[in-house]
Amino acid sequence: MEREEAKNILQLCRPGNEADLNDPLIAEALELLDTDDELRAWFDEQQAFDARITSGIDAIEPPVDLKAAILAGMRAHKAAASIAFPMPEVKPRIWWQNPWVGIAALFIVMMVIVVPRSEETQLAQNNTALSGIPPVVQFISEQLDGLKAWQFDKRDKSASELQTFLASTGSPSPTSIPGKLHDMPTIGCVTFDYNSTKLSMICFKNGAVYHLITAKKADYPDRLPAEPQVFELHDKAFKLWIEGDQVKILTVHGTKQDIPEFI
Amino acid sequence: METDPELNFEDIVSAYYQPLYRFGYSLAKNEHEAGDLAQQTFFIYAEKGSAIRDKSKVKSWLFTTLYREFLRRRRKDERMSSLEPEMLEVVGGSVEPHIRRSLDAHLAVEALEEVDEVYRHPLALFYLKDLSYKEIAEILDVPIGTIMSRLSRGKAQLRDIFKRKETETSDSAH
Repeated sequence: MEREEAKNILQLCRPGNEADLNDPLIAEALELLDTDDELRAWFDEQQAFDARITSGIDAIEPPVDLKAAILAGMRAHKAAASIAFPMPEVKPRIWWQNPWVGIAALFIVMMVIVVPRSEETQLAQNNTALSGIPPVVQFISEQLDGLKAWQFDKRDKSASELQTFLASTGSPSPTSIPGKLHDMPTIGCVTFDYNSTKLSMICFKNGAVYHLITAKKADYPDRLPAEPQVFELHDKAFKLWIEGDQVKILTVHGTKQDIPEFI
Repeated sequence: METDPELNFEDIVSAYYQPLYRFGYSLAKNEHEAGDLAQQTFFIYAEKGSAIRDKSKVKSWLFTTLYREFLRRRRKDERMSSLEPEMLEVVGGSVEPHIRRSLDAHLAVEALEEVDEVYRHPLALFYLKDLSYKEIAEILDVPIGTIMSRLSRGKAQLRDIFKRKETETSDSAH
């Protein structure tokens, strides 16, 4: 083994690390130290430097409550998982007992023959409906993907300013802000036209960006779930619930775990 | 003999929360983010850990999961920064970790933070001492030869930065 090759291997050997010393490749290179003084000097200097860096890394102290927080969080996480929000329940039914199946089949055949190819967005909506995700959630997901900061109707760090602004423009304005969002600064708000109705969105930021979408319940064109529901679509998570005469949707990039218990 | 899963989980947390936090800090350069990453890693373990058949792989599974979670969050932050440029300020800000003991330790951590990311990740895992170079290669999903060359170049860069910082510190002390 050449000296340079040995150096490449010896730099993998950490001071006082038994596993490294027992690694066959490293052990072979270590044997050269007995016969090569220059390599030995280089290695000793490397080890001294590695020891300084290692002690620096070892000195990074996690917060004193981190372990307790992990264990407590894990228990809370488990408990929350067992109270999952109910998804629409579809009772299995033997298909040939249902007369609607025949009608649906006939309808599908007619659609295939008569109806020209739908646009992609329509297909996406149908697929979404089939998978139990409300079309409005799909719509919001698409809007968020293309949204840029300059598109905000108003930018302000105060939620109440944005609520007042939305109300003044006749757009749905959340009558209340969910508890945990209260303390978060806002970025701005924007409104969307959805099936001839207005949706408003206020964006909060606190590490992650949370979007609170509000619609008037009376305007809401989709079927409304009676209980709060959580969905994942693409790279986002959504929570949808009804509050008084308003429909609210909270969304964040991530999974269901990233949607905290705001309501 | 069946191990109590609750106890088992606590043992695993006790054994790895510190190195995971340190690795998280070296990736995110932020104390809060490091804590979040460590916590999230154990949540994922609580959900999916039962699928790990070979229990000797738990350690590298945890480090791999934390690393992937870091990459996932960073992608998310990049997407969000296109939505809201101010997010960069929030995400990018470094928070000093609690570092006990010496000035030397501070210099080491500061120097490591300045190393190019491509070298910093393997170096951080290397200096944690918990993982072999083969495991580091698996976690970062690169060939062993690549890890060797990254460690070599990374160490050279780290040494230069460390020396510069040492000189600056001694100059300012005089």
